[in-house]
Amino acid sequence: MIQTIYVEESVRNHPRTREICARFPGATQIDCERYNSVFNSNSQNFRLQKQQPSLILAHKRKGYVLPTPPDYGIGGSHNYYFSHMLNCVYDCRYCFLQGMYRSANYVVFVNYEDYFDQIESTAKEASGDSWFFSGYDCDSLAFEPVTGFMRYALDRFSLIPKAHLEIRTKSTQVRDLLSRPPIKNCVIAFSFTPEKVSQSLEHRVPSIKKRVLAMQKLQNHGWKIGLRFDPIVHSKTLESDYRDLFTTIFESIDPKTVHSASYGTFRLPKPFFKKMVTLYPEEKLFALPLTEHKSQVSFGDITEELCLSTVHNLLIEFIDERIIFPCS
Amino acid sequence: MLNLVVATKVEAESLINALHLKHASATFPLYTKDTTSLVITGIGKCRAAATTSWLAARSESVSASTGRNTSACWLNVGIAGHREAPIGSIFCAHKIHDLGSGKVWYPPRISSPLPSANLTTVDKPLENYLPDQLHDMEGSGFVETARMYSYAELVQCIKVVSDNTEQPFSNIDAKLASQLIEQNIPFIIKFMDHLQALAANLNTLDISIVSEFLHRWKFSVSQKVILERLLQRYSVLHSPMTTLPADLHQVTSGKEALRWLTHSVDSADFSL
Ligand code: SF4
Repeated sequence: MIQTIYVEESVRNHPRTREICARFPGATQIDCERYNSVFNSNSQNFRLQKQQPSLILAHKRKGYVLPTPPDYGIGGSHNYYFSHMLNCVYDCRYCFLQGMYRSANYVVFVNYEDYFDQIESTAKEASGDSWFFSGYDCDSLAFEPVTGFMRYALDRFSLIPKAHLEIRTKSTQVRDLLSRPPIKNCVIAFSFTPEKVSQSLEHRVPSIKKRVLAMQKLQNHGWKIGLRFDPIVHSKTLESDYRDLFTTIFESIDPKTVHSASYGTFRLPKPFFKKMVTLYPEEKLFALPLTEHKSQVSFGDITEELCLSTVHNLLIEFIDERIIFPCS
Repeated sequence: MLNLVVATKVEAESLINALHLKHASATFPLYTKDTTSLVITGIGKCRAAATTSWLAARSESVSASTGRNTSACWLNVGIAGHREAPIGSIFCAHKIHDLGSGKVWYPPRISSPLPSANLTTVDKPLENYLPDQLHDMEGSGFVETARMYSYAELVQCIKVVSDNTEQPFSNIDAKLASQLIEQNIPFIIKFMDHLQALAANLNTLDISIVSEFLHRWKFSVSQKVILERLLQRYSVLHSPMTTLPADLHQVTSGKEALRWLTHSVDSADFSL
């Protein structure tokens, strides 16, 4: 439950600010001139804030849509991402957000219209179809009951068939999606790690069973479903862990209508990793013998190769190889 | 570790009594017991800043990797004016504005039942209260300085309302100031407990064996950082090192000790 809401002066009277604040009648509201004076201030501790994150409502001023890093995508040639929200209600220990941001508070930019104006113009300018990835700096659906962002996004995307939307999530907040007809240019992509990894690293995330059930409902309703296996965290039982996971998923999901699957190994930029170690020195994942290469921390080439080939070989037992995309 | 920063002796008295603190230094009036310290700063933000710095410098256990005494809690307690709030009401500050410099700080909210309010730090008492604000003379100096030594979440200000438009500043005397803090002691202590419980999240690994290493061998500053991390990893992957393993008794340099530790953690089991 949100107990404190910081409100940027520029959005104090925005209708969405009023709507969101009304959802938390008991919360203390604090005015701030610019959101970054709260969010980026020095000497904050992400771990301590994660105990009771506050909400910051702000106005995004530029950079609504940005190109994804190369090799990020599911087959499209024009790939972009956008973040209406910074930070996540879940607490995955491998999540790069802990290393990237000083604050664990949730920032929601309430000027949704500006995002979609830029998405529309970006899609129009592109020679072919474009992909827009949501859920880069947050989970796309976990905070949906508060923000209503995806509801708005789907209304807008339904008018831009050249633009494809990926909603990436570990959430089971799918009620809204089930209450509307699916749109062709949207994929709801669910992220998974095997049970053991999920239990030890994905804190506050709905169980695999619940996520599979949500996915099944969406698939039955006609939504395109994506599967994301990123990060792969090495373990001695990697193969059997992923076999169990895939079996659980494909017992409930029709593999023939899966839109896409992608996978990638655990890796982090070195400065993020360093900060995460300071926050959680007792985390076993960070204590494992990881290697540094080209300012990235990972399990190292040999182990990565083993992880990638294991997951790939298992996946092709279930789905068509043409819809599988490795991410680096 | 809990550091209390209070402007005057009269505001500090009931805290000193409630926490059974004993006089410990004459440089600045300092009162301590175990890991709790209370320092009296004198009035004004410059004094608050200087005394906070002095108290931080006395604290010994600074981590080599973070440069901070990462779990130290800092709490400024005192009286403040407020245009509307009743005398004796207590708040923690959620926004601190230094009227002189225009600087603003937002102490991160911690889970506590205390109500919160804006706090404006002024250089001299204002004749007219600003609306919806606490007014004090130390908060900004304290928060700006204490944040250099600890995490923002662990640096907080608690204020008890001593004057308002109906009972102005000129009515405050030593007795009233002391009484106002005293009647709020249970809330203040509860807040301290919350703060210390929060800080306890940071003390998750015991690597006190590090002092044994530093005593036996020489380490450069950067080697100390590496040593701390290796001991943390050792503790996670094996079990906390409480005594030096026999193998290390033969080792003759810090470099060799680091090599031994590195081998020990890198050859550990490769799974979660
Ligand atoms: S769900 Fe995604 S964004 Fe949220 S904490 Fe986990 S990895 Fe990070």
